[in-house]
Amino acid sequence: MFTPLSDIHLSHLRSIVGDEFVLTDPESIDYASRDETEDLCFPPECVVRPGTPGEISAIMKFASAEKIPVTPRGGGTGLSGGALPVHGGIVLYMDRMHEIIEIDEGNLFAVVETGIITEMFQDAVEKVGLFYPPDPASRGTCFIGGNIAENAGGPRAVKYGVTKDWVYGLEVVLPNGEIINPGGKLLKNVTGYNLTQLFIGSEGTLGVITKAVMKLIPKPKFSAVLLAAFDDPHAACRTVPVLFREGLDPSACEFMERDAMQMALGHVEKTLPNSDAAAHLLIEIDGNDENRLAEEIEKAGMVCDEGGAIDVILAESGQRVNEIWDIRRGAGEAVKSHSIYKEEDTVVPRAKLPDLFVGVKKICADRRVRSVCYGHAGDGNLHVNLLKDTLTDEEWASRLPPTITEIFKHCVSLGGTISGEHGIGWSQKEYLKLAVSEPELNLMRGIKKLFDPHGILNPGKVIDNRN
Amino acid sequence: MKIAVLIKYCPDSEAVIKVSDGKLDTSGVKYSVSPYDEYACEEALKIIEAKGEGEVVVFNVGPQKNAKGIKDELARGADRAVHIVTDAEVTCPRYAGELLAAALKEENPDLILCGWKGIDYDLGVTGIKVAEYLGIPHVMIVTKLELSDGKANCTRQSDIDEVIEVALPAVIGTQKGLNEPRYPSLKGIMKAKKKPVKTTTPAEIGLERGDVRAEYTDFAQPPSKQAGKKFEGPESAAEVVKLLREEAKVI
Ligand SMILES: Cc1cc2nc3c(=O)[nH]c(=O)nc-3n(C[C@H](O)[C@H](O)[C@H](O)COP(=O)(O)OP(=O)(O)OC[C@H]3O[C@@H](n4cnc5c(N)ncnc54)[C@H](O)[C@@H]3O)c2cc1C
Repeated sequence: MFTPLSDIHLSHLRSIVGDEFVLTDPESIDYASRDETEDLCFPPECVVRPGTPGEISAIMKFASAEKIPVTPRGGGTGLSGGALPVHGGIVLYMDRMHEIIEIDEGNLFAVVETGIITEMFQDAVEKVGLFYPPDPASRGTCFIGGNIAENAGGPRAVKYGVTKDWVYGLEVVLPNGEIINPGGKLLKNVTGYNLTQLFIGSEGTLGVITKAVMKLIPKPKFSAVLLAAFDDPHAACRTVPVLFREGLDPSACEFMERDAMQMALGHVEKTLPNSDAAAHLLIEIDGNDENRLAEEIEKAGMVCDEGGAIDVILAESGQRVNEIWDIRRGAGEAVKSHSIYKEEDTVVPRAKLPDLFVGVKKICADRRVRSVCYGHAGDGNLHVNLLKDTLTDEEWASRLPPTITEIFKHCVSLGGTISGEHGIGWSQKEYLKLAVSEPELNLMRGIKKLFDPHGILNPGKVIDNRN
Repeated sequence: MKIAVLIKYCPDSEAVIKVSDGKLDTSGVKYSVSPYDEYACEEALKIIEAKGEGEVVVFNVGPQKNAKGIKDELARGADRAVHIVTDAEVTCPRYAGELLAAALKEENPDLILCGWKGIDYDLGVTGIKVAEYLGIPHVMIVTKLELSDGKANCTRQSDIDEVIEVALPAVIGTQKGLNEPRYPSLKGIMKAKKKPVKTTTPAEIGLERGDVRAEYTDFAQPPSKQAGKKFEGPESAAEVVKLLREEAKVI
């Protein structure tokens, strides 16, 4: 299998990146042994903070020759355990490679190193009136590299798409140390297989992504948010596809059931008039024409009204818009701080959302596991948080796996799949076969083997290298 | 009871204002009602709701586009509005106060609420000027308000909270902490479309030229801050000390 790290290995790594960037102190090891996935903990043997693609290349050559596992790590906010070194070895912490190399206002592209925090990149492009839309709720901590590796989404994905829609070129260090540059600042490119896109969502298993060419657009000038309260969650979910059918193009369309809303309000210490409603839809519309925006937000309100909303409130000033978003963004942390949890990232065709929600609630009620749901309704993406709450350890351990399996089977039966944006990583691996056929799994195994013949890059993730 | 609420329609708190050729460039900038005025409107609505009778009348002076800000407060629940339409923004708070006072005289409100300052220029003068032109008392930076038989009991925020009693009518300048302004609802927005907005002009009021004694002549961007410097490792301490002494001149 893998070779444990010896002092000789460590001193070789030091000769590559410099003494101070090879860390074995308990604090660094502890930091790199966790991400945001439940309470998983896998300590690495050392943490290396590379400064250049050349250094990473040297590390990969060395690790290939010595059979040492290497696990890339971004901001460590992953929700499927992707950055955890489940077989030990080296964690490649990308934080030092955080430069914005270029903001090309002529072509509307930016070139960045992938260790930059997503929000810092967004702030930098907004300073020149440009916009990088993908906005995972973790954007204050996660890295662009992690976003690319997970193909991260976020609320704005419903209008602007997910990370893959904004990445046009990459610099990648392959497991054998070769450095490649697929894609570029090109809006069209049919030059052989699309390797750029193959790395997006590859969860750190095919190569170490060191640079990215990201598309930008001018920032829309205005936005407004409405919050619709429903006394029936099914009615809230049913309203979502109607918004789109009516020709609206919301820049976010989010769902929160009562528990999620109430936990979030407690978390951010806010109150809302209808906080006890069974469900809420948060709808944001953006644009450059203020009058048209006002008409559209009003129309969205009417659609909610006709869909059975008991109340619709509006936020237009920047301050008010932020207040509402703080509540929605706080939901994840609020729910997770409530109890031990397991989060599922179900996604179905948008119009099937009502069936998904009702099915999930019934499965959880039948199996007596508490569930709290919220998510990106416009994308048909429902985050299902299963909470341990008052269950004993034994009850939790015995009820959880069959509940998850049943939720996923239900989701797949609706034409959906088991992860919309959090990835498979380590924690969802055993369920992958519920959603992906054997021939497809074989292709994936073949691809992994081709890129990483020695199986040293982020081993144990996504698929097992059997066959 | 009739309560007047004075509102200002300002560049949004999130907006970025550029300066070009000594002028403010507000093209494409989002405007919203100054947050301090939202506290004023909310307080007025709460007082009337508690009393079960009376009306809230919104007053604004400024160009046609301010109609949107007025609509926002009508959507929140104000009953009607008076808009003194000017060609351009009135930047002199003395003149704005004069115009508002003239319009207020006709309405004779029992209480006048306004944000204690506008979020744009941060002057905090207009409300005081209104009180002066009307010859009535004012209390600014109010975080608590109680009304009883023709008097207002105001808590004024300071290092030590001051409680001030004034006879009504008076101008009360509202501050953050007074209340939690409600969000306008869709129903409110629909109702607002039918609520009366009386428009008038400085000429109709007879104040085409105000008593303007100060005018903005130039705007300039403050020099941008220098980028921060980063030092790593204990060995950089000597360098930091040197820079603190020679460049920052703080030691
Ligand atoms: C509160 C909270 C809210 C969240 N909200 C959202 C959301 O709205 N939408 C969403 O999609 N996700 C969300 N997430 C999940 C998570 O933030 C995303 O998956 C994010 O993209 C992970 O980025 P990271 O930099 O933290 O990656 P990490 O967790 O460090 O790593 C994730 C994976 O990427 C790999 N990787 C990292 N950097 C590189 C690189 N340079 N080259 C190759 N592989 C690399 C790692 O090996 C690992 O497999 C949320 C998480 C939290 C905790």
